[in-house]
Amino acid sequence: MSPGSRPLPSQCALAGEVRSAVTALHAAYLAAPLPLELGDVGELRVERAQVITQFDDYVLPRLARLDAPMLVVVGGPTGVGKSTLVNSLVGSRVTTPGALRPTTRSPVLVHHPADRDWFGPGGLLPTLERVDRPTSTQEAIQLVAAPTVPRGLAILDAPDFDSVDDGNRALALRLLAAADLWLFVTSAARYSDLVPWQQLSLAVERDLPVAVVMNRIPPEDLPTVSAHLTGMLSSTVGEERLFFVERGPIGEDGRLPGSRVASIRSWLDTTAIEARVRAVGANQAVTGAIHRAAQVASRVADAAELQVEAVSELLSVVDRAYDAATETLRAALGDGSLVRGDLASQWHELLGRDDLPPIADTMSALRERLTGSAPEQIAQIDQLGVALDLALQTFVLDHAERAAESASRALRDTVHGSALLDWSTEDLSRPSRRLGTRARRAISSWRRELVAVVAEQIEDAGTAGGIGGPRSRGLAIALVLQAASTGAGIARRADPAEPQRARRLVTEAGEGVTRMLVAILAEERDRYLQPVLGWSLVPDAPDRLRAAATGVQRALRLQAAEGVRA
Amino acid sequence: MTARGLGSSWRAAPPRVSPQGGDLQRRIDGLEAAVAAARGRLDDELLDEVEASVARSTQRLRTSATHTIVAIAGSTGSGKSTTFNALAGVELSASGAQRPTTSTVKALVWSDEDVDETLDWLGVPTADRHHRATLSPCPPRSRLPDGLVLLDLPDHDSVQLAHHEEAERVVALADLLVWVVDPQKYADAAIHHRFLRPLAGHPDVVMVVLNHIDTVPDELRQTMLRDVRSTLTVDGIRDARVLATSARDGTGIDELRTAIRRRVEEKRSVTLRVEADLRAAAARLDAAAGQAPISVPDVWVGDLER
Repeated sequence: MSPGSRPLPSQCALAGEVRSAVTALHAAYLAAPLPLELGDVGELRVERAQVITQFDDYVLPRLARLDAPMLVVVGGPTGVGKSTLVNSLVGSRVTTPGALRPTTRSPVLVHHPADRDWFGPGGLLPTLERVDRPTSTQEAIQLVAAPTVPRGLAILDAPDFDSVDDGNRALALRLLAAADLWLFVTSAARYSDLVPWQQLSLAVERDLPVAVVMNRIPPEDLPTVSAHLTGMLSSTVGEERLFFVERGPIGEDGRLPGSRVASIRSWLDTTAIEARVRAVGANQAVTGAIHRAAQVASRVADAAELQVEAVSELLSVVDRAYDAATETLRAALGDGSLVRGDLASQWHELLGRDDLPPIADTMSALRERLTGSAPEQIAQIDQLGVALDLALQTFVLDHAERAAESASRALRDTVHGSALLDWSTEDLSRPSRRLGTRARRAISSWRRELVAVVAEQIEDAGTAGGIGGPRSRGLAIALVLQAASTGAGIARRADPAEPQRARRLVTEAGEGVTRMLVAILAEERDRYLQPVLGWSLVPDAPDRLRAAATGVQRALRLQAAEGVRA
Repeated sequence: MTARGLGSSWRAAPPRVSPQGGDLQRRIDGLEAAVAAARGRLDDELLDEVEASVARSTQRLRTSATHTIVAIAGSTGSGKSTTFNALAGVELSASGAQRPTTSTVKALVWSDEDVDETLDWLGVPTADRHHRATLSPCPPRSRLPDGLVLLDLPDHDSVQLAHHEEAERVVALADLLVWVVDPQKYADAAIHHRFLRPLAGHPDVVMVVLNHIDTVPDELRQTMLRDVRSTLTVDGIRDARVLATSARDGTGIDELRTAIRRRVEEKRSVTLRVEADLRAAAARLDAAAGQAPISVPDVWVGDLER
């Protein structure tokens, strides 16, 4: 780093402000993917991806290293002599001009040996590998150190962007987006081709500084074409940035005679010196890129807002389906349908009667029948417990199954519901694979807690482990069965003959089992959120984008004002 | 149903930023399912530890995956704080002759983003949180990139037992551990048994710095580095990066800085750490299941051990 490039403190503070505003904008962009096919979203997705790539490739690394050397990207259509020009500017053969088109090789970056740090891995274009010999991969940059390049400026020979090869073209555009300055090369034969001009106007639109070189001009045509090009570009590129190179013999070292490119070279030298002494943040290309990102942000925010609304609607469709399922479950839990089959017959056998008496009678019946701790009685109670657990499992599985079916059917009936269902890694029209295990665990731990509560209430010291003796276990089951038959929790039939304490226990047991099963259903419902989280669309992304865009523009204005004063 | 609808759960959900999050999330889910299936069949203590490790991974992926947490750990007097200060470019950690010198975790953050949530999770006291950008108006180029959270841990072999626990706790959470050892203590059992052995299978997560290299005669240095490497291999940590430094005269500090910088810029440390933890957890589960009468279904373990 040269002493002249060290930023002044006030500029530094401002640059910090710009940097944090830009970081916030980057984060807001990341939070606003547009997953649903909603409206005219295709083009915006591309624009968003371009902004993010340019931030990663160029804007953020550049802001992190304010005094980094500038990068001149040499681009242009096929066959205009870009590589020859780069060799001539650098003063040695660093890149091999190819006769075959399109030339497929890694882009070559020529820098001063002392600037190597800036262009190594981890800086600009961090996802492109760095190599030190020619390769043909598009995911790499070949680094060449040359002492003849001015310090503080590097030259990158980009692939042809009118190439028939898609990858080549995409890379050329990506490199262009990482340029501090663009040296656009064309030739007398090609200068009115459409595609390069579109690129040129794109660069101008992005506020990227551009210089234009017209190469390979037959000497006799020089006056005509130079006047024509100057006229064509009069509104976009100043004359001081237009260079004309006559056609002539190329030396064995792949270079033009130095005199032909002397004017370009001296302009680059001046630019390098200017860049070194220039105030931080006066980098037109960075500012341009940030401005553009801020402009695109409002359109992405609008689109993201529609997406957030649509996603919220999908989620409320699921909410409604599961709310209905929950109501059904609550009702079924109180209508006695749980106490059937094996569970009912075991219960009647234990109690010695075939109806369900009021809880007070049950309690005294249990007290009579479970006096001792005869092993067969304990076994009977335990079996009954297992039967209750199984009945509850079947019950909740059944409801979860119906809920999943109805939620997924309701989603399929919406416009974007299929996107949510298809994005999920599991089949959301079925209960989750782990539901059985989870229900088993939840039910057994809930029953243990209930037994403990009952044991405390009836002062049953219990057996080992303090989980209550057979009487507590039996009574706990009785409470649940009672609740399941009489609609505990919902409009429970009040029997004035029942002692209040017993009634309260029944109500609590009913509420407890309902709460536990509803929670299982809620967990099932939450699976529908997973695909949404997988999209990484954050609900407040639209607001964040708008706020970040405003913040970035304010920071840039402050910086511009400071720059004027300085 | 529950008062909270899916829409509000969505609003309350922490952002997932890790690009590899999807894949890791699947493996985490698989491991959770395996633990659940093994309950009652395998030792509860083992399952609790595996579950805790999986929970840590989940939390790590939820708290800012864009930051890389690098913890500097080491024994008393190995020059841990001096190394930290050399990386920081300022005197932040007291590095005195009096031992032990560090009692709580200190954090230095290179980032404009709000990292308080991450620091809360790491349990760094508010008074010990520092931001590189605010330490001086325009930091000299310390060459460490944005996104780094550098932690200075308490000594792990000091007489203060509370220090050990604090160090151990944070070691379980960091993405990259820089172990500062010195020519006298590098083979101490305290480092190896307590900290390094549990990290077997985590080579990408550990970097070892042999400090005070200035006190070692030139001709002995290579031999000593080789010896450090072979000690690590015995602990099951192969191919860990080993650097020789002298925080006092600056030898090797640039190299260390570059190594850390690369790790932060790759943004892969979080993933590497979580992957290593998941692999280790899956291996423990598999080993235990192998001896148990009913084993964890092969599909899960196969899925996890990739």
